[in-house]
Amino acid sequence: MHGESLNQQDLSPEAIEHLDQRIVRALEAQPKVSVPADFASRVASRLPAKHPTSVTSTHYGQGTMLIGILLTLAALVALSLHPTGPDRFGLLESMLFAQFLGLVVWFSVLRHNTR
Amino acid sequence: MSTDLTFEQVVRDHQEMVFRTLLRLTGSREHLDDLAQDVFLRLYRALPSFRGEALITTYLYRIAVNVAQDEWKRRRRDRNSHVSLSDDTSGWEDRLAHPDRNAEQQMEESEFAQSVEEQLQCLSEIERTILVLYHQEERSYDQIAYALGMPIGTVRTHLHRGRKKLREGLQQRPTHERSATCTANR
Repeated sequence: MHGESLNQQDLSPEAIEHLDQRIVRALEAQPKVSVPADFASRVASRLPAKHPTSVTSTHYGQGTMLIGILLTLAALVALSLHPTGPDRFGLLESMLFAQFLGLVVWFSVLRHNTR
Repeated sequence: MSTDLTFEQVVRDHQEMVFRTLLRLTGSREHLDDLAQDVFLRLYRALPSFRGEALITTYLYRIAVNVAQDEWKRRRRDRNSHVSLSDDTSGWEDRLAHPDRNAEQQMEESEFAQSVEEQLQCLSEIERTILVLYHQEERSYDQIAYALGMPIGTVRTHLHRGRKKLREGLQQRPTHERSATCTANR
């Protein structure tokens, strides 16, 4: 039997090669497994439930935008009541007015789209 | 749910590979079903972070190796490190016989396969894993390196060392002794 030659410590190169081939053959042989027929469905039934997605809208952005509009409007009114000089007032007022207009347009579009 | 149905198909496509990899890595059919379920549940949980940089098969090998490592740790904790396939009532080695060989050759090959299996369980966990992935599962060095998170050179070294230990273990092993005694140098 081939097995008896395994006891010998000093194998010839041919015997070592033969042994290596047998080892590789044994390793390459895939074990037969019997997978239960319902295995996949059992795994699927054990899958963790998905977290429900929140559908409540918060409108934090719209609130912030509204506050911004009110603040710019208040600043515009304050500047018109207390002028500090013709040049500086004109530049600051026009910047604030542009911001105010931009916010109003953006807010209107957002409200229109979320309806 | 369609996602679950799709995942069920993924399980069906890969279940046999996961079972046989776990069987050889753990050396026992005990808890095999539970371990395989664990593999697929871990895959499901990891899917959101799966970016597709590797095949799902390679990803599964990685998870299977992790599950096998956990099982080895659990066995060590239980002080039940004696691993043998003799607990298996339907040993797969008996079914590996080639149809065109005579009975004596079949028995001899079966005994040899049993010896290889026993010596395989005597190797270090990493050597055993690499031998199984390379020879049984026919994975490339790249895939093994990805699955185990180690450089290709290290994979090659472990593969060579594992084969050498396996051969030495089989050479030193007396033929009349059929117990799962480890004779290879650890």
